[in-house]
Parts: sequence; structure tokens; C-alpha cells
Amino acid sequence: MQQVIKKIKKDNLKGRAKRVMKKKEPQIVEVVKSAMFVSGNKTSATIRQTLLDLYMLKKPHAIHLSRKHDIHPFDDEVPLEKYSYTYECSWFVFGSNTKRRPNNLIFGRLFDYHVIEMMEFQVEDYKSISEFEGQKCQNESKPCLIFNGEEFEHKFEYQKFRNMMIDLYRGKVVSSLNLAAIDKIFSFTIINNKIYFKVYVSQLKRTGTKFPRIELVEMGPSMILTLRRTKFATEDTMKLATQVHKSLKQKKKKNVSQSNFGDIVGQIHLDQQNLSSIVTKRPKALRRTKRKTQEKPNDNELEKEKEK
Amino acid sequence: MDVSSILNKAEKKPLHIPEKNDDLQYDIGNLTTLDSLSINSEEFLKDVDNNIKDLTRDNAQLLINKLFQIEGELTDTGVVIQLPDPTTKIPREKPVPEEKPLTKWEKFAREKGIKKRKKSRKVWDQNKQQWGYRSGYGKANNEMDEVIIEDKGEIEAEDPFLQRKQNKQKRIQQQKKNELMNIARSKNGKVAKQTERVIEDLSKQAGKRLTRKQRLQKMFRVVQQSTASHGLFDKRVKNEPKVKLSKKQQFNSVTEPDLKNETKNHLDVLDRILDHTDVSINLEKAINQFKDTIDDADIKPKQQKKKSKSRKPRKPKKKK
Repeated sequence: MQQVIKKIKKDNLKGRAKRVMKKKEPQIVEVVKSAMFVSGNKTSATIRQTLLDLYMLKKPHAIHLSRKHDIHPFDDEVPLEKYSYTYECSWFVFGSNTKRRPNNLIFGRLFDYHVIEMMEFQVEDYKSISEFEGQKCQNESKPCLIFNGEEFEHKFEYQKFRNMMIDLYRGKVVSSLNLAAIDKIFSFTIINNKIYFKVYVSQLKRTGTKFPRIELVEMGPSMILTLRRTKFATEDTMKLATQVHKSLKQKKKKNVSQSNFGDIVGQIHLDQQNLSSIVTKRPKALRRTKRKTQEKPNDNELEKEKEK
Repeated sequence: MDVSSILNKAEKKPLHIPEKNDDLQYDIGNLTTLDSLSINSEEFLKDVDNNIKDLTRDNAQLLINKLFQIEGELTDTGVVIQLPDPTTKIPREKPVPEEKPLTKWEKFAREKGIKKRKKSRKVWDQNKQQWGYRSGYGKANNEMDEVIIEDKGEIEAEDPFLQRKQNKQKRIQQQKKNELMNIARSKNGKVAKQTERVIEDLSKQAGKRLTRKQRLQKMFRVVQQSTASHGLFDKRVKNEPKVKLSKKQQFNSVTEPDLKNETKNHLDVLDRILDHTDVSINLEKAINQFKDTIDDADIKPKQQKKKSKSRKPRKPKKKK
């Protein structure tokens, strides 16, 4: 019944409020997630620059909240969840700088306006975009994300980090892609539990074949991230969050399978054969004839039948 | 025999093939790769920046090669390929939308295979001789705008203008009722029936407008009970009707407990808590909202605009 009230209230909305609420409705296919880049109460120049650069990389699906915010995501998530609702962002990157945790950067994602996962890092050796000379990339182009290091495959935290980075920076989920538009390459390399975060601009050069040769120019930012605190979603939450709408699930085709060699194999089911109605060749002898007196078949004919 | 030229040829690899082996894991839909085998940390740390750049370049080259293998379509801006679906499982932003329950009409239309047709937003208004919106404020061909109603011998009402107004109100009420009924129908079993019944009752009441006296009485009844003692020690007005107080709550006897029904009562409470769909208290709340809208519409007739000058004088009725 509460749902009924909700519905009645929602139906009573008019004009702008109605449009805003409609925008907030869940969609069957989600194309892109927006992120907010929030600075904490105390920040250093490095962290401010980090947030700004990360924001530039995520543009236009991003909001930069550069004023001071008295928020401590690991102690209290509520303010961020509120911001998430107002700005319609399901990602936040939070930067702060304290004595205990200098140059602190938190990546966090939300599901249904609730923080489900957070990873906290220390930022070292920061070099901003402006410190690199040369070509810069387009904003909305879909980037390539390249992960180097065995930890990304085997260690749980870094698996999560990989998943989160794909989530944050993969851009729009598209079905078709213009190959000429690939110009941004993110590189995440992990050595001795330190993640090297680098961004390159790519140049495609002709080789005389169908395939181009790719050359990289560093665009920035560049930094080293060291893991601090984490908060990960439970399996149940993750299961809920990775659900697929009924209409998008592929229906299992019955009786069609693939062999080890990639051939499609079909299976056909038949009813039991009715032998009484089966049409077979009958020798002349067994045929019913309309003649009154039946003749015995010749020996020659019998032999012929046998041969057949 | 000089074989150096042949050897040179053999040594020279094509430019697009990197020196490293292709042992990456791909997610082409997301344009990502994972290389978990190539890093030897001691060697790598000697010249980190360049090593990372080289490794990334090689891996990016392998990814790009995969992309260029897909056959694409040539357009003015470049080759456009169809990407496969992403394989990495990434959480959604919001939960999967619930399926909206079909309204009675939608259900019917689906059964009969009726499809929506697009209508133009504007239609020709014969009286005004101009195009106007099909619906909404100042719509075209509005019955209510007509100043003169021709009597072709069909009009039975005393005041056909009032008749039209009332008819419109009726239609609005009917629509509101239908909408609520659709919501009720979308609920299951008990609640649906409950809601339907109340809506039915209310819609019967909706047409009836309270008189001034009735409204005052209603107000009076509320005021009577509004003190802390529910009006017990108040001064009475002449001929004041007695207030019926709501029923006293019955408590189960402690000394003689009703053991038969005890378990059942407890289970009922539990059911009510667990089964969110059956919350009978909030039903009233929902209905009251509906009621308020009806009452408002009933009691407050829409105020005419203050500019009385612009109001068109109503022509005298034609007498039969």
C-alpha cells in the first residue's frame, strides 16, 4: 500500500518535478555512469590537482565539487549518498590531505544511491597534465585500458581495482566504434604493490598493411598509488547489482549445442514410429486383388522380389 | 650464394607486430586488456617510466590489432566496427527496473493486437479558423468555449452550459477512478479487493457535493473532540448532538488468557509485519489523499480570472 501512496504522489507531480523524477528512474540499459570529484576539508595542492586532472579525464560525465567538504567517507557515507542523489552520480573520487593520511585519494562507487565499494590510496610522484608537453586527447573518445601485472589477475583487492577503473573510465558502452577515434590509453602497472597510473595519447601510423602501428606520447597525469583502506561489497549486493533485465537475457536454445570444433550440432527428437501404418514395398503375393480367383505367383517373380 | 638479403627479410618483422608474445586477456567490448605475465620487477624497476611505456605500447598494439581484425564499414570519418558485448561484470547504477503492471486498456489492447498510432499535436479549429492544440489549455474545438449552443431539439437540460460543465467533471472523476482501479488491480489478492471496494464507495460519494450545513456539521464534529478530554468538560451548545467516541480498545484478559486464539493472534501480527503488501492502515491514508482531491475539486470551483472585462457575456438561453 505504501507503494500505492508513492505512486499516487508521483502521479500528482507536474511539470519540472515530474521531469526530474523521470530522469532518475532506473533504465534497462545503462550507458554511462557519472562521477563527482569531491575535495575534503583539508587538501594539498597535489590532491587538488589530482582531482582536477581526474575530473578532466572523466568529462563530460563528471562534476567537480572543489569547495571544502567536511566528509570522511570511511566513517560516514551519508553525505556522499546525498550528493549522489542530487547530482545523479554513481561514482565519487574524494581527495584529502591529513597528517595521518597525507595525499589521500578515495575511489568509491554507489549502487542505488548507497556506497558499496571504496578504495583508499596514497598519491605519490604526482605529475599533472599541464606538466606534460604535446598533444592532448579528445574528451569524449573511448579510451583503451591496459592493465599490466599479475596482481590484477590473482589478488582480490587489485582485481577489484581493475574492475573499478574499467567502470569509471570506460566511457559510454557502445556497440559500434570508429577506429580513427581511438586516441586515449590508460595504463595501470603494478610493481611491488604500487600502482603506476599513466595516461597516453596514441598515434596510429600507417604500415602498408591493414594494421596500423601505434605510438604513444605521455599526456599525464602520472602518479603512483599505494593502497590504504578498503571497503568491498558483499556477494549478495554484487549479485543484486549485476542483475540483467529479463528482456536482455539470451534465451537458451533447446537442442542446439556446439561441438569442440565449433560446429553447431542439432538434436532432433522423434515420436515412436507407428509400424502398422508404415509404407513399405509389398510383394505382389501379399497384395489384395479384386480378382475372384487368386493366382499363385510365378517362381521368377519371387526371385526378383528377393533380389530387390 | 648470398643469403643475407633473404635473412634480412626474415628478420624484419612487420611494424604492427610487437616483439612480445600475445598472452593477454581481452575484453574487447570495454577496450581493455590484462597482461599478467610480462613484468619482471627487478629489471623493470631500473627504468620504470620507459619500461611501462614500452609494455603499454606493445599491449595496446595487440589490442588495436584485434580491433582492426574485425571487419568494419568504411565511412567518411573512418572505419566503423561493431564491438562485441563487454564481458567484465560491472555493477549497475540502479536496480533493474520493475516491470510496470499493465492497465486494463493496455491489457486489452495487447490481447487484441491494437497498436498506438501517432496523432498530430495540432488540429484545425473550425470556429476560430486556426490551428490549435489537440488537448490542454486553450485547446482546439473546445466544447466549453462555445458561447451559443444551437438547439436542434435535443437539449433536455435546463441549463446546457451547466450540463456540459457537470459532464466534464464526471469524466474527470471517472478517469481518476479508473487510474486508481488500475493501481488496485496491480496489487494481489486481498489488498486489491480491499482497495477496489473503497474506491468504489468513494467514487459514489464523489459526485455528491456537501451542502454548507453539512460541511459545518462536519467541522463541528471535529471541533467537539479537539480538547484533551475529547469534549467531556466543555460547555455544551444548545441541542448539541452527542459525540460518538471511537471504540475502546479491548485488551485480552490476563487472568483468563484466550489460549486458543493466542498463537493465531501472534501469527497475524507477524504476517502483517512480514507481508508488506497488506498494510491496512496505510490504505486509508492513500484513499484520503484521493478523497482530498475530490473534495477540493468539489468545494472550490475553479475561480474565474479577475479580468471580468474579457469575460464574454453569455447569450440568453433559447427557449424551447
